[in-house]
Amino acid sequence: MDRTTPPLTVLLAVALMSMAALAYEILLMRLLSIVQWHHFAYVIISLALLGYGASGSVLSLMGQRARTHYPVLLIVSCLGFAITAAGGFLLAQKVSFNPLELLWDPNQWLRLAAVYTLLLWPFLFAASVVCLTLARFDRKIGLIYGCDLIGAAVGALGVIGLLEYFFPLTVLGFLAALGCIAAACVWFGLALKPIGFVPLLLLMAGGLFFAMAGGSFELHLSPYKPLSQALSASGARVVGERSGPLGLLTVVENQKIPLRHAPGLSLGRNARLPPQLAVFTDGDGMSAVTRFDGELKPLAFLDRMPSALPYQLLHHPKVLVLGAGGGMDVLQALYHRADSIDAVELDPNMITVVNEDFGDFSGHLFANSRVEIHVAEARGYVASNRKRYDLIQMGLLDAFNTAASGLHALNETYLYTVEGIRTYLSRLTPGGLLAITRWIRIPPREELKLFAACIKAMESMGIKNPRSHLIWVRSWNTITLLVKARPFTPNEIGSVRQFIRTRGFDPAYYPGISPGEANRRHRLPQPYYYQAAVAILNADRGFTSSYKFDITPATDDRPYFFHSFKWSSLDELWSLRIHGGIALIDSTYLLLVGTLVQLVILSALLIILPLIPKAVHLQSLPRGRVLGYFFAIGIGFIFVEIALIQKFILYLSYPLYAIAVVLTGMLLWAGVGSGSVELLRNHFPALTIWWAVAAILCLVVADVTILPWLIDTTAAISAGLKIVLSLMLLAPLAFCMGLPFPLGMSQGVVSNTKEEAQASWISWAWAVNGCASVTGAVLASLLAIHLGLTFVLGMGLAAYLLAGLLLSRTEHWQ
Amino acid sequence: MKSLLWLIVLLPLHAFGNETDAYQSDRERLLEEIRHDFRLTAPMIGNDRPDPKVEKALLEVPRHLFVPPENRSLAYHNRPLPIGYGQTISQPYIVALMTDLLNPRPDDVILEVGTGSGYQAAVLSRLVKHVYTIEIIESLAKLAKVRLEKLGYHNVTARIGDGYYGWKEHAPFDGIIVTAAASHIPQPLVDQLKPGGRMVIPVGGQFLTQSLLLVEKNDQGKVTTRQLLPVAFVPLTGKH
Repeated sequence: MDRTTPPLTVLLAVALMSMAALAYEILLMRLLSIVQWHHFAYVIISLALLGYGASGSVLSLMGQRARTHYPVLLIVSCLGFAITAAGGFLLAQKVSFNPLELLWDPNQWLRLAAVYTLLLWPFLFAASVVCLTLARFDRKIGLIYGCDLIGAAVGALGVIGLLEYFFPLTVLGFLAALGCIAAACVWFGLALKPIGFVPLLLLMAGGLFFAMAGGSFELHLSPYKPLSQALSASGARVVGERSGPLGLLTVVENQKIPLRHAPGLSLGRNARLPPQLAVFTDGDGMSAVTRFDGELKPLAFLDRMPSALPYQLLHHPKVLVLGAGGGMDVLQALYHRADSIDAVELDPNMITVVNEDFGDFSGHLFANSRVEIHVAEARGYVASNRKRYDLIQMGLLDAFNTAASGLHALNETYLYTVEGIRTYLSRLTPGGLLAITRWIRIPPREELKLFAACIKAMESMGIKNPRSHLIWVRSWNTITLLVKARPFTPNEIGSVRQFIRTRGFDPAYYPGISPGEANRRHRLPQPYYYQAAVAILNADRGFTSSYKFDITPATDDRPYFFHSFKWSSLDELWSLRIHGGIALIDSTYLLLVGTLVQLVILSALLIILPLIPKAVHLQSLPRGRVLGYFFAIGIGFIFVEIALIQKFILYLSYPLYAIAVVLTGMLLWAGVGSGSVELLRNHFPALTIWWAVAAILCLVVADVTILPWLIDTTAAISAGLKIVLSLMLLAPLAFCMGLPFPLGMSQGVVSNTKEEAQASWISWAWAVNGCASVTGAVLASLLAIHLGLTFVLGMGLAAYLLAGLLLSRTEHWQ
Repeated sequence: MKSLLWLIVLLPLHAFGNETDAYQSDRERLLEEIRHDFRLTAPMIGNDRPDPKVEKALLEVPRHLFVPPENRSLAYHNRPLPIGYGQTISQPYIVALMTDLLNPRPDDVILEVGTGSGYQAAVLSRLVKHVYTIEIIESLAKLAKVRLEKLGYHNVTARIGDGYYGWKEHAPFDGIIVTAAASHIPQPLVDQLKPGGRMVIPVGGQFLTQSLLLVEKNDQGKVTTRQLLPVAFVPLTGKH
């Protein structure tokens, strides 16, 4: 075997393990979102990903032994991944961790740590395969790193494809089996004896796959998730299930204690609700499918909810329902004799459930002659469709979050941003209405953000007096906001008042409202909504700044509609947590901060640990420069990647396209870039880090300049063409982003260290880079919440500039 | 299995008489905490102390016998606790507040929708003539029924079933407690509320009570709601 070139099968093993690891990360997000909640999944995975950094630290400590025992360590790492990927998750399910008790019970933190620890191992083993190979074949770092990135690219795309057709636990079996296949590749490639182990390893792969896919194991949902709660009721049973990359849909029927879902239903005399089925997405986000046999009379309850308000002002409207879900808003439009209904639903499985699986029950609702269903993301659908509507209706579908399945998406949503509202308003007919219904939270938070966003959107459209264009009506638990591009007429206001009076609702705002009207039937401690509406309409900055939650409107650059936390309120909220105030604390945000703190501490440990023992020969290079360089390129890559994913979500509409295209495209081209380093240096011996950094800077600026123009001019073209255009934009950038790692390794580390210290240095640099990427992902989310995605992108570029400065004078590395 | 373990715990409940007394000081300390929370939230709830009768009931009912054995040491902490089946026993302060909001009188007949562990029903039973309680989770309902009987709460009648339609045979009620908010307030429950009666519903998830919804029916039968924050929090600072 050539001592400096890895065999092809070993490169294949590296690619397979990287593929499996990235697929496992995405799958874990799915699995943990099902058994727990999405934001806890994000936190847990962020910590577990430190396995990447840990692999470098451990191997750095091993030094030359990592090279000496390369074959054994490589096989152990591949098999270690296989066993811990499957076993780690199954064991983690046994830990009785209840995130809802984190603020009550300190023991839950220990359980959370146990979950992290169990899930960290697969990442550690997978990353070890790459790191070991980098250290062993240090002349081919570009090629190996390229295989790592290309493998990850295939993993990102492949797992989404697998989730389309298989249940998550089956996919887990498949990924675990990849570990065994990688081990077989290594065994064969390194010509290890006995050769008979190769079929044995392949048999193991098959065994693992069938064990996981055979149905012997199942997902244990938290008993506090809405699905678990629904199933605990006497008579409840699961009657249908569909799995896809957007979520696991579970249909529940209960004939003994029927589901009765009618958000905000009036307290007055209501007709009996027709039978309903509950559809849960990932055990949460319930949507109701209502029995419909063509008779409108049983649907009378749909006229007694705040969301029925727009139908009092419109006759036979052309309606666009954003977020069809189980079809309640579509039924409401049918009940009010809408002329035509376009309904948009993100998850095709939801449409199949309503229209086919339970088509007889729902009356094949989406196939109704007046209904046209579209599988699309809401904002993207409106942007790419030039059709105009009398009513655009957005119901209570929080699960209809653009980035619900996003890798790094902590509740980003482009549905309720200022730019989003402007897009909706621009698609209304003259006199048309935008109607948005939200759940009420006491004290109000995102409801006020929405109101403020509508005002900003109208102002940006040149509407000088938004106060005449808004009506806000609430029950005790839902609130409906009407926005009209033209002022509401006195007749319309009269109809609204009658609607409010006959159904026992309260006005929060309408043109000409008197303060005394705002808090009569469903009384709040104060007329919060009215007060806020008046203050926001009067541009009272003091109100916004002194309100104890962040109610500044969400924008496309800061698409955090659900984020309302203010640091200035933390002291007060924290002191009130055991005095009835625990629900006021935005624990999601604090968890993100807590995660970052843990990541910083643990990363510091992982980076410092290999420097302590004297046995490790780490003295020969300037530690600060190595640390700074590999940390900077780790941060730079992840910041640019996260910001671009978010920017492309708006262009590609469908979040899965965006994640798959941007992530896969960037990793793939970065892999090609990395793999080409040797070739490039042969042809251009003057190739330095500055070339790469300068190209990255220019290409990012070019991409973000072109993207808004592309969004405007090509919104209506086919999705396939959009993907091609996106890849054309991303490819050169990603190619250049693949260069700094192998350049740093070859020009900085390998060429300036002695042979016996190289393994330690390479592993340490790998650890630093891994820790930076993981910490950077969480830091990027926090920065985006406060300062916006453009700032994150800018910081990413600054990190690359810093890297350029650190590597530009390699004599300082000697 | 879990049910069996609980039954084993429930059977010798009568033997807990002395142990119950051992928790008396814990209950008194807990009551002090509840009073403190009431004082803090007085501007929000309009009451700086629970009704003395409610306080007495809280001192009498052995909360530790309504929580699973593994959480018994936490029974008198002012926090919600898991009781199995994805359900919780509410934070004692919230129980006190909800009970107080019902304004219970000795001749009252109360309906509870969502028996849970039976603790809320037990507290109410010390204050009113009769409590009817309905639970939709069969296992939980059976356990609560046995527990309430064993502990001598004879003026509580429990059954398994759908709380949406209330309990028509014993309606109308002076007060109704619904332990978890649904997407809407069931009309049959409103109908079964006496004129002048009150219904209390906690809004929020398990472990997190966001607000309390008080449904009031006046003497003319007109229904209004009031949403109360169970916490001393004003969303605006003093400038506004």
